[in-house]
Amino acid sequence: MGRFEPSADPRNAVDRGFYVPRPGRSLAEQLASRLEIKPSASHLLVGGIGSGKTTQLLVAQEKLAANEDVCAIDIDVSLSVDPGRVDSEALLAVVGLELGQWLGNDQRVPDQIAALDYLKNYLDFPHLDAFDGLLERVGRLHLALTRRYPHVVLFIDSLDRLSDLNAFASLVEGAIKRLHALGIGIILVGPLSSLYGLGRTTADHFDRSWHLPTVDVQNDIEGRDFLLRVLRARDPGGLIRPEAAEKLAALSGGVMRDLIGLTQAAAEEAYVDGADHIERIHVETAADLFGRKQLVGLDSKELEVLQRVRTKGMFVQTSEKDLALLATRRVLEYANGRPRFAVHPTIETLLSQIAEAP
Amino acid sequence: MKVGPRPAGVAEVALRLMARRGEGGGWTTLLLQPTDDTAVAAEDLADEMESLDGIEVERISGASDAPALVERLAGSPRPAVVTGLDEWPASEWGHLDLLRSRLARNERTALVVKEATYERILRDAPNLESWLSASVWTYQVDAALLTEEEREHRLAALRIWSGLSDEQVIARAQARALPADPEFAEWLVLLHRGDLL
Repeated sequence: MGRFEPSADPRNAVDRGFYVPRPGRSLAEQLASRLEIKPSASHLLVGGIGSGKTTQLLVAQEKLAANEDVCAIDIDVSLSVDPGRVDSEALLAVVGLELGQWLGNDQRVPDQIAALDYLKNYLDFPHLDAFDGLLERVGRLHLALTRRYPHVVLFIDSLDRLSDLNAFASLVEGAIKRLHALGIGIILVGPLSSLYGLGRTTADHFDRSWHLPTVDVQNDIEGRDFLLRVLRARDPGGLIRPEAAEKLAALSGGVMRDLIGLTQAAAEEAYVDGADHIERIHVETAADLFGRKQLVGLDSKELEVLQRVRTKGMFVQTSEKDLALLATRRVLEYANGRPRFAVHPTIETLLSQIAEAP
Repeated sequence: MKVGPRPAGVAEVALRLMARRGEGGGWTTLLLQPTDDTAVAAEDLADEMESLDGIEVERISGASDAPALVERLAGSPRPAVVTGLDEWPASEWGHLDLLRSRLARNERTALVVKEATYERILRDAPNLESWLSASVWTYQVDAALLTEEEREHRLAALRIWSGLSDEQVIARAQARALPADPEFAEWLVLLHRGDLL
């Protein structure tokens, strides 16, 4: 069951050889290729919760790091600073400290050590009007690093969880813009909403935006086969029966983390049943469990919206609650050619039962 | 027609969670109704988890805010039962969602909350919620007691799994030669021989 843990670190999955590239050229390959050609470019990566953004980021970083001229650094901002309180100054400090790590203890000269102390001190004791000072120190460390690596590229994760688009915009127009101006390449995982409406102006600050779509399991045969390969990579022993694997792919709705979580739940059902393999019945039970928790707390209006999506494929975002249905994956959006909406497959049957209930 | 997470007692929830050995830990969530006693349910769950695996379970109750919870979880290498979060406002769940990366741990974690709190998690901590996945249960005291048919079904599954008979398991337990797998602890309980644990 450990191979199918939805909360597991994506880095572990990549290191264990579980990564399966998407059909065609994966986003990771495309990002890495573009950054090899233009290492100082800036890219924005967005995608739904559980779509595999962090995995794509890590794989892109690994590919780029194979180039000796590139220092490819991944930064999970939330591990160093509280994303709820991160501002451009804090982000500069975090970036600077990461650059310092790559310089190595034995290579730092006094002014670099002083720069690192300044950055560490800022994070412990933030103060006003520090932006220029922080940027100068980051510039100093970047310059030192480029003596060893001509190009520095940052892979910045966890800012996609920011629901405050103004805060995100402020980071992009502040720290990110100035880091880019230093010649540092950037791939930043941002909020999905930054590609829509007013958020679009923030996306325009990047050289290119990328959207990691949900796999359209219903209409994309290659996509469905991709999900089956993901399962096989984690199940070399063949515990999952082929028909159960097909069912898992379909019921995941194409959301990577839900595929993994459903498989774990099905494995648990098989375990409780004393079965040697994961059968279709275990998957169906797991899907029922998954779907039930998806329906917790929905009011009648939200149920109405879901029924309309289920029966007519119609979804018009007119309110925050509608957006929340997308964010919480009760409604899935597929962008394979013509966009379409569907309810998460695990709630289809339950919604149907609700509709038929007296 | 109200559809909610399947009812389960602490014995079942504990068994499912502790059976998840290996890397990455794992989460489970037990939802309580307004009239349920959270402290009792959480303590019962922790006791069950300990009886299955023989490892001490961390009880984390009443963390004041998201950073405090993160600190307490990160500070423990043991399986944990987390409770006392029902008074958190929506904003604090949003805060925890932002700090989700810091919640990654290599041990199993059970969240014991009221159903209304889970609604807040779904709405305000969707990234965290995606980690909770399908392992969400509605607490039911009566579900802790299996029907005779359910008990036999589970015993049959354990016999198939191990290739042993009830008598062989009892004999090995008496000789203190039983492996530490939680399944054997469950087996003895089902045979009403919890005295051999």
